[in-house]
Amino acid sequence: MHIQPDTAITDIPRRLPEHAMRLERMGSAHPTRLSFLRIMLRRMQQQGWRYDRMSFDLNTQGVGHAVYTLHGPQRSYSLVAFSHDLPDEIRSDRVIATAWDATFALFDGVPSSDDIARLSKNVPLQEAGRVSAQELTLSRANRSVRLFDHVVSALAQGHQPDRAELDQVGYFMRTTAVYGSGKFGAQDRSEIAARPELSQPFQAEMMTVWLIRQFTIDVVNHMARVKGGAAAVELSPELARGLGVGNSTGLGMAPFLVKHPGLLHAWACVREEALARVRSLADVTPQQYDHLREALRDAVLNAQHWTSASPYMTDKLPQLRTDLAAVDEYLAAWPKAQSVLPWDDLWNWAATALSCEGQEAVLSLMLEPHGAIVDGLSECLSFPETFAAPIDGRQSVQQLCDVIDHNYQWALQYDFASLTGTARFWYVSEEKLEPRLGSRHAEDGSDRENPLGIAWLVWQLSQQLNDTPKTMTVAEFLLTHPQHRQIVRRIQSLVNCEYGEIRENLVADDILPIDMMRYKLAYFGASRFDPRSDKWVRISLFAGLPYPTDIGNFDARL
Amino acid sequence: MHGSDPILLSQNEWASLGEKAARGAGYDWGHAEEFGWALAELAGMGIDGSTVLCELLALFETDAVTVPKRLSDLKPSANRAPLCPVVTGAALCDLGDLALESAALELGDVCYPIFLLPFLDRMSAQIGKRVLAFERDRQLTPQNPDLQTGTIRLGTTQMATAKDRNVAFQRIGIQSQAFEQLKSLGMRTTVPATEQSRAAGAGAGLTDND
Repeated sequence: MHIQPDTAITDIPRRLPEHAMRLERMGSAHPTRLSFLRIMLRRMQQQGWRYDRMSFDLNTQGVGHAVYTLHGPQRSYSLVAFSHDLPDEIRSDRVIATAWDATFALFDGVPSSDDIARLSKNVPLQEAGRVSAQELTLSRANRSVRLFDHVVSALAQGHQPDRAELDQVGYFMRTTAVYGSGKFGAQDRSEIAARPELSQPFQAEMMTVWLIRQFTIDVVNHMARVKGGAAAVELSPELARGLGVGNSTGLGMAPFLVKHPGLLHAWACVREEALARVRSLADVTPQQYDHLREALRDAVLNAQHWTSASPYMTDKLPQLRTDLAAVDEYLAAWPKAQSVLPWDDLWNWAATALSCEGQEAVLSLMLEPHGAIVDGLSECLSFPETFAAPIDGRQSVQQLCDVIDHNYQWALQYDFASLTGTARFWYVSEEKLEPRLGSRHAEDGSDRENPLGIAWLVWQLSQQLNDTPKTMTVAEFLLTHPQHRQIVRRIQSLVNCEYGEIRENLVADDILPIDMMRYKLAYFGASRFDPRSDKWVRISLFAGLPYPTDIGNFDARL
Repeated sequence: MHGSDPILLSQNEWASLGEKAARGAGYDWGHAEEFGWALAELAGMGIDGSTVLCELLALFETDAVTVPKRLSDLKPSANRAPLCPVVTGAALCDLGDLALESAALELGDVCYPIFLLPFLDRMSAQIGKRVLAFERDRQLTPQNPDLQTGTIRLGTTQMATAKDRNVAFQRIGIQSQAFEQLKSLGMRTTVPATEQSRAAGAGAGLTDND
């Protein structure tokens, strides 16, 4: 979907893709008010959704099932949760684990007892089971054992747990996968994308995780009651509010952005349009100034609580804290009395004074006070993807060369003749069925490479086109050279999607997949990005945001 | 799975199964995508194309199908194996109305022509005319999916072509033996682990119990 700039409200152009779509910048992305979980919460607030805990049937070991339902204006959605007794020694966050503390499905509607019986035979098996078109997602989670035990034991003794302990971990459970889009038998995205409440990206997944968050609190309170009896107290809402749902995710998330370029374009274009709109504003109202200040205070607090032992973040986090302190100082003398475009002043100052990490944090802050001109853009976040989209074979090779010249110059600048230029290859491992990044010149398997090195593929196509008569049709070219069919399809389908490509060589020796993961997770609304290696990361979702039990009483600034 | 319930695949699963199996058998990724798409479209028409796909891929692996390499290969020829319906169908869609400059187009022998149907639907939508395939005098339709090889001629009618894409995808069962075969072909797109790749895998060597 191409978003036309609204010239009535934007004088400032969007940032160019060669700037916005570099991995260093994408890997500094922060959640914004356009993040998918906030879009979901705003809709529920505006449409008056209701929440209902339909059943909570756990025994004294914490084993059993529960059903949590969200009722929208037209449809209901239910989390069916199965809670298990998992011995510590088999608990694993790897996506390839086979047992979990809890397993979940998001049911389309309100499940009958037959549905629950069917799900109880399949959901606990996850990938080894089957769900049906009545389920929208399939997920599982493990406890943070240390925090879980600490909190249950404090509550059982009648007192609240230590806040510092809660802050340190940030969640009671972390999910290790939330599958949707037709996987393992679940409903296809195309079958539900027309529903207003699911038309924006990952809304069913966000509902799932939000309801899981409620479930984690309920399980903790339940186990404290089992242990402490009448002496037990419930976790205070203030402490609960700070907790999210953890998520542990590996490389699997990185290829998504390359395989869904139309969606990537839509997401990036929306963000850039939002920034351009805010930069074009001529005034700063006192309410907007206060809102910006409040958002900055939250960001400073978040940066204080955000810890990571990863070398990737240990450089970035102190820089972020320094940058946010500089923003605080700058805002003391902002806006200047004679300023024509005060928000643009703020942005231009940030773009020269701050690190990439700080600049992207400022982008997020600048959108906060401007829901009125920003939130509507969430309608443009989806993209009508067609599997194996049609190719225009009537196009001439010359016309195709012109498109490459215009849109893919960036891809032709890398040195693919060097060993470092093609050092890595993306593949799926036979053992784990998970995406991996291998070393082309040191490991076997590159004959089974997944075609994610877009720049390299464009370069190879371009070499072939140089030796091809320019009047030939693309249809004929592709019959003779079918190895280029996929990249030609991509080039043609992205003609109007200037943000569709990550502007990097994704098979270079120094590629950091973690940057791709951070970008995607920021769009989800994830905070506390904590890489555990350069290929695996933990994050938190919904920390600081309301619970389903709060529906109707959300913060107006959500 | 339990008992002998048929396995009902999502549209996404059909597409992914077909794509990986075709790639595993040796088709290029771009054509493998068309295989996945066509298999899912057939499922949407109520046709389980899995068994036919297994047979087609087996023929491909023994060079018993012709993969057209030039436009002239889309014309009838006596001295070759029947055309691959997916590569042929994809080429016809690429060409759009250029493919039908004459009122009818003779393709010659095509194996498992049922796999042409999704492409003819797509082509119809592209050119605004209904594109039909005939084997001698018999029109190829989802109701007669069992033809193994036929001499195919294309024709058009001016009938309304609009196909209602808002119809929900009706899931159908997949033949379980073909399902296993296609999955196993798909595994050929994956890379076996080595000690080195295990050590470098995501999350390797880190404890999860914290």
